Amino acid sequence: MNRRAFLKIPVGGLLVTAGFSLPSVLTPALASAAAPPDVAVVKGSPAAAAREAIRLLGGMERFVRPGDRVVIKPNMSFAHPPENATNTNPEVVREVLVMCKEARAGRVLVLDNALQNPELSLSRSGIRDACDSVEKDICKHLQDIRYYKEAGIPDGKTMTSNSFMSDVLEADVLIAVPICKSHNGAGVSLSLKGQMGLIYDRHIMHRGYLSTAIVDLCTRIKPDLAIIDASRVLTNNGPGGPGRIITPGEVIASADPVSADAVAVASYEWSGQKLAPRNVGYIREAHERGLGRMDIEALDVRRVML
Amino acid sequence: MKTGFSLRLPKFRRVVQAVSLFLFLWLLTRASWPLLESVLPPDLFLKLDPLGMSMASLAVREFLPPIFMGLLTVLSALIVGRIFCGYICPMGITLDIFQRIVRFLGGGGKECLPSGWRRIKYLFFLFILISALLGVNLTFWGSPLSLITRFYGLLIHPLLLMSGRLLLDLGYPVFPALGWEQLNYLSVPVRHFDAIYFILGVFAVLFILEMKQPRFWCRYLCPAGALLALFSHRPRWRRKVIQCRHCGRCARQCPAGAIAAGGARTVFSECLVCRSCADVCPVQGIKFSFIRKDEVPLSPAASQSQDEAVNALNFLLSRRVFLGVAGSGIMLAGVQYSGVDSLLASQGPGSIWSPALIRPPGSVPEGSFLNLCIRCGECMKACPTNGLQPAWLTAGAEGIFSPILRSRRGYCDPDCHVCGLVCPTRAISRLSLEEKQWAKIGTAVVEQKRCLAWFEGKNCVVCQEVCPYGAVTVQVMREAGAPVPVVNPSRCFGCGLCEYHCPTRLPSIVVEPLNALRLREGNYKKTAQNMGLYLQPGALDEKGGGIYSFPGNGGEAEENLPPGFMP
Repeated sequence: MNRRAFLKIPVGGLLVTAGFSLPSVLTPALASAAAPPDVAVVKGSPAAAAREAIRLLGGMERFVRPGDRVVIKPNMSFAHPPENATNTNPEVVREVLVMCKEARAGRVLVLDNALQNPELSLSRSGIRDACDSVEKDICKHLQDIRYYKEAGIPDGKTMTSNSFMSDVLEADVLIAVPICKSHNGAGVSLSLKGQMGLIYDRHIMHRGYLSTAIVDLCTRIKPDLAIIDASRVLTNNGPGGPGRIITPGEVIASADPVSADAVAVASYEWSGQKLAPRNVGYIREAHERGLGRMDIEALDVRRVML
Repeated sequence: MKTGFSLRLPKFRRVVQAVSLFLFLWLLTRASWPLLESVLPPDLFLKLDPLGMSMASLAVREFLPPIFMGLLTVLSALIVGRIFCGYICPMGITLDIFQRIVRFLGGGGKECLPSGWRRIKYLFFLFILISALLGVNLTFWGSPLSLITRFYGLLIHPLLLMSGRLLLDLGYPVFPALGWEQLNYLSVPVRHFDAIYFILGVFAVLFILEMKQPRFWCRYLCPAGALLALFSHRPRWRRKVIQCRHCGRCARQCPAGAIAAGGARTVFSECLVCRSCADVCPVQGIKFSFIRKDEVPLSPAASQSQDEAVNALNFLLSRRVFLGVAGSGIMLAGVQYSGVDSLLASQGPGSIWSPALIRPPGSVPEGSFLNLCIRCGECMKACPTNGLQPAWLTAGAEGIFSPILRSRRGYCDPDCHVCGLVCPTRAISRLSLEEKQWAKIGTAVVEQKRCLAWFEGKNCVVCQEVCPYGAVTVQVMREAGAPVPVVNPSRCFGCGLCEYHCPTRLPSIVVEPLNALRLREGNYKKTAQNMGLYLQPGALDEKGGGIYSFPGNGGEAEENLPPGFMP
């Protein structure tokens, strides 16, 4: 809670933003803006786009204080290479990790609970190698119950408790780094849906209403920062594919995961259709329950091309 | 009394036994995925089993090359007697260790049953032989290597893992302080197996018998020992008595009860060549060596073997016994073929398959499979997801302890083919990973009456999410309240990942043995392709997977939304 309170101090963001020289592509009007945008959408090579998006939001220092324990949650649930667009682009994950290190984070872990063969998911996705190149042994799949701790979800409507990864419960900062992909059950799988990879019993979420359960979950472990990798987008038949893959080459970032998800939904065509954030049950419900904002037309969405 | 020399001899045996057991266990640990490469095959000891290979070979009436290794063991008996039993067999070594523990605790009996009881093992052997000739392999009930591999692989290994986990759990709070934080992320798998009560029961009985008398199993029951005994009634290298006071010390010491007449006579078919007798002889009158022609025995009586093996053979071939055992063997073999759910003879019309009878990929046709499989449990020990389980009666009484895949416990990983690599009898064919991916083991069937999407109209398509083969498609149908999963059988391998992850308590998508490919010979990939199957995990094409059927009736906008979206 202290963390969120801190983030709300506008002076903090202002000071950090002022410390950066802005790239020339920005219009003078934007350059003079004092507050960081609500959502940053940057087109470019994956790592550079991720770095620029975070810079626009005020830099990683806005989210990670020195010594903070950080958990990064990418998608690495499928034993697929990055080309399948089912796992997060390893370059994006690596860059986020590097930025956390630059912000002098304490312990950083990259965690998921894989659906397919966990070892192969980590190796084929390229994410373990990418993380190892920064720091060894921080990229893990945690499947064993011993890594989880039972915790209540006080604001949950249908799901009032579950077992969460202990590392997530103990973390100071949670960063969602999902890939942007369709999901046949939930419409899309982005930063809110991705939090399902941090709990032990996912079955219970499907037995009730999935949308409500996703929002319930995010009332307990809401990402402090969402960085959506849209270098590739699986536009149908997700989350496992095979489906149609497009390559927008973008990264969408926001301190509000609901806004980030909303912008991602509106940015691409799903199964060939233009859809609004309200067409995704859990985004609509998250908005209604005050978890974040999906009214992107009222938000400051800054689009930058590198 | 004891010279340095005679002291070293029993130690030598202990060393060989220790090395042998260690090698056996080490090779058993190799049986995992990824397969840990070693110079020796993981199933080395199973192949050395004098009984397993030969009986499997007889039962399927086919020559199996690994039979040579078993024959090697049998031939060794002609030269050096039952050295396999005394030095190599992990079952014997395990019993010896148990005997040591019992002695250490001050227990251990020397109860001597009449030597006639030893004939039980010959009867057991004859029974197995007759059944094998009639096309039923019953070896697994008595093969010491099958029994001991199951014991260590399915019972001891999971218990050791569990202990390791307990230790790690105890250390969990203190490891970070000690700087061993990585230990808290050490993943020790949990292994659960069916039928372990049976294994436990069998070994409890064997251990209790061992407490009564050393090597009870080897003396009275072991059918492989019986086969070796038949070949070792006059081994070339054997026990010789040069000097004897008839004190009887050696006869009391002998763990196999192979010494008669107060020490002078040897029952070679029982002798394990352990040389304990030479060690205790007060006059050092016993030596083990090759027989020489010019050798003059101490006395005619002393050189005479009590020809128990010959007697046993005569006994077995005596009309009454032979007809009795053969009759029972024939009867049991007949019953095995005529049980209502027996799959030994025919799998065609009229035969009953259990819906749970999912065999490992590359399993030969069921009739041969039942006879080739020696139930050693190597495949189950090796299966990385713990999905391969010993069956109880799923494959009929004939298929007891044979491997079946229970997807709810663990799926068949598309990137693993280890069961075929470790199978000693090729009941599971040795397939390359590429070919194995085409060796369809079954087909997933959606239980619509339970399915959250079909029955409750909920947005759940976990089965489609996880399917590595793109075999589960999602269809939008008017009757169902949500997009529903539909299986495309030509893309379904039967891996069971869907069944494993299905969120309902009882799985709503279940792998059944429909259209499983079971080849005796030929290439799985070619056969599957000829049948129009497409089994390519992780493929990026949109063939099959990702095809939606939009009914398009009435053109209402909400019906045309992609799956998972809402109006």
